[in-house]
Amino acid sequence: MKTRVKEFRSAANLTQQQLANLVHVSSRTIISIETGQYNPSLLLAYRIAEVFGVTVENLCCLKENKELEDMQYENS
Amino acid sequence: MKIHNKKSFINVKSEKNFVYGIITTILAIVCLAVLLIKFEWRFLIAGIFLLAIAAVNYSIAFSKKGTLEDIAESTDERDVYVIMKSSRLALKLLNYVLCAGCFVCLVLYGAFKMQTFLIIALTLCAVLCLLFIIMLSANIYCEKHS
Repeated sequence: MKTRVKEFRSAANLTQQQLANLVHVSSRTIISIETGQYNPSLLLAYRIAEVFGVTVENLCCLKENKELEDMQYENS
Repeated sequence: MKIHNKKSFINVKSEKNFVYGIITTILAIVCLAVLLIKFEWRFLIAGIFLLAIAAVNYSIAFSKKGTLEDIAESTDERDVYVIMKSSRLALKLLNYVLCAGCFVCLVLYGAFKMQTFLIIALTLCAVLCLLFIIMLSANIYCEKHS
């Protein structure tokens, strides 16, 4: 799933390790979220959104991801 | 794990090593008890070895954290997800390997009529059945409890 974690992290001038420490996960988890290899849980997404002061919907691009998934369903 | 008693307070850092220590102590006591009834060198050697192993396990249990405790403390949600995914893959691969082994042994038995191949095939088949029953039970348990 596409997220805007990297974008918000860069804007907040935080390293992956710093963000990981703030949300109590490993830096590997942050890397995986940023590369789209891992979808964070609702609670982790909320924690990250809270750090950046944005909504989970905005952080996880829920609208775009939903539209993308809908398109994939229609095509399949 | 912290064990609270009325009189004593024991701080166990490695649960696994503590359990190993208890098991080896029990086995050592059994060996030494048998030794008292009837002296045999093998029981003496086994008893000494088991006591030594118990001592090592207790020292590890009270001095440093075990691997399981370390992993449990350092894991986050992604690690749990990766463990779940890799466990599933490992189980799937094990199933394929057992099936392939069973099939190959049956073919070899058909070709060479050697009873050894039939025994191996039947054993692998039994393991497969057991694995299936365990998987099914685990699945039912997880369906009900999660």
